[in-house]
Amino acid sequence: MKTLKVVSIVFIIAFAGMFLCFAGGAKEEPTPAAGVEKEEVMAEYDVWVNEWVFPSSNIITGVSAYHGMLNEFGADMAIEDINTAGGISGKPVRVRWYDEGTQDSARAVAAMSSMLDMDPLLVMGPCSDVSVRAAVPLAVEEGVYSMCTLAGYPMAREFTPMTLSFVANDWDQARAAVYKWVELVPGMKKVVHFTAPQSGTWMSIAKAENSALHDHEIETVDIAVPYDTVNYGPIAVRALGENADGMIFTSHPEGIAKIIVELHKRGWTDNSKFLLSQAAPVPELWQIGEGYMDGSYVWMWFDPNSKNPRWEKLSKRHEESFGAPASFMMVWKGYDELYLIKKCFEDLKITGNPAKLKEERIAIKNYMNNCSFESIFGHVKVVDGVRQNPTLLFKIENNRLGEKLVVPLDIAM
Amino acid sequence: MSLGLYYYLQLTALFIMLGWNLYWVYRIGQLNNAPIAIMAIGAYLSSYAVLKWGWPFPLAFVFAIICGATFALIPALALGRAPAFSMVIATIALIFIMQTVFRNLPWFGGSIGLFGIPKIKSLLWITYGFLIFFGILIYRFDHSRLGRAADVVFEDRDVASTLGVNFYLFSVCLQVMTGFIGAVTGVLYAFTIRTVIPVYFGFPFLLAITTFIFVGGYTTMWGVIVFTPILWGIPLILPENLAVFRNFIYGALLMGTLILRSEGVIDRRFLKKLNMSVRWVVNKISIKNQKM
Repeated sequence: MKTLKVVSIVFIIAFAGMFLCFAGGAKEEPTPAAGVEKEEVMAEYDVWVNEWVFPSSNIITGVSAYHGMLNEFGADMAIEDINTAGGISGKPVRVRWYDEGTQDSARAVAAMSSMLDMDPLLVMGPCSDVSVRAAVPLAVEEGVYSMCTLAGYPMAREFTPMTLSFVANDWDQARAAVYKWVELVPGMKKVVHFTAPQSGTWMSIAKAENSALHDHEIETVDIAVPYDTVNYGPIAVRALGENADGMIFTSHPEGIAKIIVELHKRGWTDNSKFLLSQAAPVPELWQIGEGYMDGSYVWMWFDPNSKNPRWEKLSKRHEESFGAPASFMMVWKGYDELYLIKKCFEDLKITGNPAKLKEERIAIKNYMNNCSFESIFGHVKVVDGVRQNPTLLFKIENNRLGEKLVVPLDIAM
Repeated sequence: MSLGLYYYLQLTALFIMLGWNLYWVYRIGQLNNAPIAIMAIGAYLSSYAVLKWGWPFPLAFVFAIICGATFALIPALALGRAPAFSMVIATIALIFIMQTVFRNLPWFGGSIGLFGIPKIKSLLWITYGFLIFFGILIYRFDHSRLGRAADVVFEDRDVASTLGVNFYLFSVCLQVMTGFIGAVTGVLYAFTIRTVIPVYFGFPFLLAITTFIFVGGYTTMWGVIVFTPILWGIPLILPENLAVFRNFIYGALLMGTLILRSEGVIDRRFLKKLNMSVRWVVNKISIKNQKM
């Protein structure tokens, strides 16, 4: 028994030691992005700090840690590029990451309170619905602007003007996408809608999509897809039992892919009558759904096939690291946030001086709510704290996003 | 007080209360996770009463607690005689049922939940007041004949019944009491976070609390008190690069504790030794004083 105890202790210590030593890996030397030359940027005004440190709430642990890893991946590239090009107002940039956990409100609040104790000019994040809802009120009370850029329509509106969202015009976008899909695939009378009741953001998108279907007098049947479903066969059987003409998928990518596979196994053939919502095209979808996805439509608010050199560099690096081109929003979230911060700080001549903290926070809030900047996809505008994205409708070809249609938002207004 | 410290203290107190919930029913060998579901009831009902009916906080507080404790009676009556494993499974299911119910009730905001809950002044004091009250309650229980009866039940239910302990009644009473604590914790949690969403009351809580209680020690109430602040504070104390290994550290600690001290770090033997050491030191000091 004693030997067993000794062996167990040695094993745990050795495992812990190895994990802590090697889990971090090594970082590459920074290389400038295409079109970015190394240059000395001298600030024309007095910057108080020696280094810009931005606190960021991120999903670092739990089942969604993959999302946080992507966020960090994109932010790291932005940091490299910005620092190589001279930093912000001549000072280098660093992000300090705080773990908000996966759907863990207590952890999100703890992360936000720790970030606010740093007296930051602004905070990046939180990321998930749960964390935004739990933690952003603290930042609002302290007068600190939150770049919770993944906050969907209901939450972004709740905390306006103290938050920035990259996705909060999703109501108009989802409706426009459905209008276009109905135009491309006419004659549908009944549509099954796979939804994710766990997510407030996805449910609000599903509501928008249903409203667009109802505008066309198309009957809808909602089927909930729990995250932890093991066997998707019964869900597919239930959907087929509704004798629907089309199906919309507003749920998690793994579930979407598995349901589509199950539908095909049970005789479904016409993929043009599938519409997938924006979060779907991630490596999981392509891997699980390989051979079954072609012909389906996907609506998105950014173009993963963009030819912007910055995006191509990020996407290529993503492919090297993860085995598929970048197509998920988390990978450019942190990147664009940092470039927006750079533009904001340099335009406003932010000093970082604690004596000016209050006025600089207000200036940042006012600037960020209505501005424009060069995102990783090109020039974009932010209006009232919401990034103005186009609605793009893709057709899946050869297990990848293929032909693209740009859908004007006013089609559904 | 800094924000970080405020929320650390507040959330630590709430986790200790939840830990005691598990500890208290586990005294009779049943691992009852229902308080997390009751916590959801307390949080939702108090928030709803304040936001939609405009009730003052104290009234909403009392209302939510009465509803929570009453609701706790339903599973308690059904699960009173359940063996430990059945109790675990059934009460985990209860958490999911409660989440699904709140997600599907439109007047509770569905998956978006309730938000805009007002800030309550002196919430930290109220929380610590309840923490001390529950601590005294559980301490008195542990040191009463009920506590001794619980010890016998934990070892062998049949022996306990021959000694006149009505296990079913005992179990139901403890489950309702922990339902009461769960409802109080839920109300305090809702007014700390100031929003409620169904997913708040799920697995992250369960995993955290299970770790706190089994690492700290499930045979005394002190394990939770000592180890909750430490384990909850790990990511806040450790450097940035190590803090992300929180789950790994929790797992390693849990494994290590179960192998080396199956009853947790602070068990009864430890308390006995500590007690004897303290007495020895006190005696030494008093002898020294007498000589002088």
